[in-house]
Amino acid sequence: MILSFQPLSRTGNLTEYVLLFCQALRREGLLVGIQEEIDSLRALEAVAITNYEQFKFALQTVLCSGKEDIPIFEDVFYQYFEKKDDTREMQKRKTKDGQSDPHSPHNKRKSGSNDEPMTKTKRKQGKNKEMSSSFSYGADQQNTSEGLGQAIQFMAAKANKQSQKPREAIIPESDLDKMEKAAYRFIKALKLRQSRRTSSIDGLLLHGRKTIRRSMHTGGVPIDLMFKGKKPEQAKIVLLGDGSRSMAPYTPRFLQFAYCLTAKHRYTETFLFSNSLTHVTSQLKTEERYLPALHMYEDTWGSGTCIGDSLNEFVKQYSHAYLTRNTIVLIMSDGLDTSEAGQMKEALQEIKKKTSLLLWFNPLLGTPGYQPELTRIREALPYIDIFAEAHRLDSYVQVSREINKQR
Amino acid sequence: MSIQDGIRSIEEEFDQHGYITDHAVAISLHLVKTLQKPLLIEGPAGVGKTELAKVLARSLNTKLIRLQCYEGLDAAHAMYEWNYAKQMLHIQMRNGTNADPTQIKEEIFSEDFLLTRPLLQALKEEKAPVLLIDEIDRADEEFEAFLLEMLAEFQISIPELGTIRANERPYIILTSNRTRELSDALRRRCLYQWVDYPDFEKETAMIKKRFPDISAKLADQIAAFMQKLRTLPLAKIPGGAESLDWAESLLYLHVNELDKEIVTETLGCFIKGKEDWKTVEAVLEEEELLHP
Repeated sequence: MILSFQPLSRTGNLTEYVLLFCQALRREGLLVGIQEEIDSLRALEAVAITNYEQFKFALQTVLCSGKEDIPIFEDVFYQYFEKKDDTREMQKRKTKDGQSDPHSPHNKRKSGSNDEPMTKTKRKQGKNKEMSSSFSYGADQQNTSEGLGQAIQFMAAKANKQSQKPREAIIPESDLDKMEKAAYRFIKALKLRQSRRTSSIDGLLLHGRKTIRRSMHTGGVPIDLMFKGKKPEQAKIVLLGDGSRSMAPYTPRFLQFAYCLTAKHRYTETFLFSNSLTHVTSQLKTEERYLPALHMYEDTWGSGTCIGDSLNEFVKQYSHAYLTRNTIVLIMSDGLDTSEAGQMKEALQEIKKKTSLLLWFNPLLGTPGYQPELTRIREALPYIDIFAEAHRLDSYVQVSREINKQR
Repeated sequence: MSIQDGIRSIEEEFDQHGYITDHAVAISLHLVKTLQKPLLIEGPAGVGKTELAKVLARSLNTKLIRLQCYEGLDAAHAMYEWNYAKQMLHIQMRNGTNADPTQIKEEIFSEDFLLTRPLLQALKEEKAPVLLIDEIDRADEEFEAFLLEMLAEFQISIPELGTIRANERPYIILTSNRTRELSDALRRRCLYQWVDYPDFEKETAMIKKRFPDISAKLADQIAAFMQKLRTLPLAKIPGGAESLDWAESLLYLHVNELDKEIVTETLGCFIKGKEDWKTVEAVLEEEELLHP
C-alpha cells in the first residue's frame, strides 16, 4: 500500500504534529497540559509507533483521564491520524455520529479558562473539514523500522474553524443579596431535612484510639474528643436548567440561584440543556469579584427543548457520580419537551430511584389559569416531590418552606 | 528485547497466570513500566481491575502491597503513623538519665518509632513492588490530596523526619468503580485505562482459561447468556467475576448444558438483588436469554 498525502502545510516532524494533536484535545476540554505533552512523546518512544494500534493506545493511555474522554480522543485521533484501512470504520463512525451516542463527549472537563466548549455538531463539522488534511496511516508503515522520525511524515492540520457561534449567558446583578439569602435558606432546609436521617447512636460513642491520637498534638491531654460513627455526609445538589428559547425570561434568575448555591455549598453541580446537555459548574465557580458569564453553544442555550433526551444523557453520563441517596435534584423547565415519548418519564424514574428529593421548578405555574395538562408533565408528576413555580425571586424563597413542609 | 516483544511478553505472562488481557491493557502496563507513572483503571465492578494488579505482581515476581480505600481513610492508616506508645515509653525510660531533651526528641522522631503503612512500605521495599490502591473512589476527597505527592514524586514528606523517597519506584495501580468523580489533580498524575465488560470472545476465553475442563459448548452458552443479561435494565450488572463464579458452580453441579431450570436454580451466582432477580426471572419465562 502506498502512503497517500495531501499536504496543505508540513510541520516537518512527528513531535510537532503530536503537539498539534495535543492542542486539539485541549481545545476539546481534555486535561492535556505540558506534562501530558511530554508524556505522550515519551510514550511514543516506548512503543512501536509504526504499529497503528500501539501508537493509538499509547496516546490514549496518556492523554485520556476519564471514560468520557475516550470518544472525544477517538474523534480527534481519526482527524489527525487516519489509517488507510480504516475507511470502513470511519464510515461506521460517521453514521454513528448521526445517532444518539450514549458516550456523547459532552462531559468535558475544562483544562483552561479560555477553552471554549465544543458541541457534538461542531466536532462533526471540524472533523469533515480536517479529514482531507489528515495523515493516512497505511499498512506499509507497519513494516518500516521503529523509532521516531522514521518512515513517517505528517502534515499540519487545518485550523479547526468553528461555524457555530458561541452564546453568552449573563447572571443578573439585581437582587443578588436576596437571592443569596434564598440560597442560604435552601441549603439550611436541606440540612434540616438530612439531620433526621443521619443521626445514630454511633455518633455518641467515644472513639478511644482516635481521641488518643488526636491528644498527641496537645501533649497527651484529650482536648478534642473523637466520636465513632460516620461523618454525616453533606447533601449534593444537582441543578438542571432548561436554557431553551421559551425559558429565556426565567433562566437569568435560575442562573443567579445556581451561582449563589455554588458559592455557598461545596457539592453543587449545575447543568444546562436545550437540545443537549452541558456541565457548567466550573464556569459558575469564580474567585473574581464580578459575576461570571457562561459561554455555551446554541445546542445548550437558546435553542429547542429536548428535555427527555437531555435528562437521559445526564443519567447515562453523570448518575454514577452525582446521584446518591443524599442528592437533591432540581429541574427548572416549562416542560415543553420535543423528545420522543417516554424519554422524560424514563429519566425521571431513574433520578427518583437514586435520589432523596426531586424538585421541579415550572415558571408557567405562576401564569394564572395554568394547569399541568401536558402529557409529558402529567407523566412526570408521579416522580416529582415538589412541583413549584419559579417565575419570580420569591419563588426561590418559597421553595425552602415547601422543603420544610416535606420533613 | 524489542518493544513489540516487550508488549507481547506482558500478554503472554498474563495469559500464563490465567488473565486474558487485551492489547490496550498490555500497552498501558508496558507504559507503566517504561514511563514509571501510576495507572488509574476505571470500570464497572467485577471486570477484573483488582485482579489485573495481582497478576501484574505475580508476573513481575514481586510483592503486592494493597491499600483498600474506604470512607474515612486517613494518612495515619495509609502512609505512616508515629508509634506514640513506644515514644512515651522511651521518654519515660530516658527521664532519669539527664539526657539532652533535643536528643530525646531526635530519638523519638526517628524511623525506629515510625509505623509504616502501605504507602510508606511500598517506598521502602528493595525490589519495586506493585502498589494497589483499590477503590480510590471510596476514600474521601481529602485523601486524594495526600496521595498526590506519592503519585507524582514517589516520595512522602514527614514533617518531623524529612522526605522519604522510593528505593525503587513502585508500580502503582489505582482502581475506581466511579461511584464518585475523582479530582483532576489525581487524574493528571496517572495514566488511564478504562476496562469494560468482556465481549463474547474474551469472556469465553476467560472461562476456558480458568476452567480447562469445561466443555466448549457450556463456556459459549455462559458467555452468550451473560452478554444478553448485560443488556437488561439491572441495578447490578454481572461482570466477568460473576461469569467465572457461575461457571465454577455449574462445573461442581456437573452441568454440561444450560437450560431454564438450571439457570433459575443458580441465579444467585450472578444476580445480587431482589429486583434484578425478578427482572431476570421474568425474561427467563419468555426464554429469550437462553436462545440466540
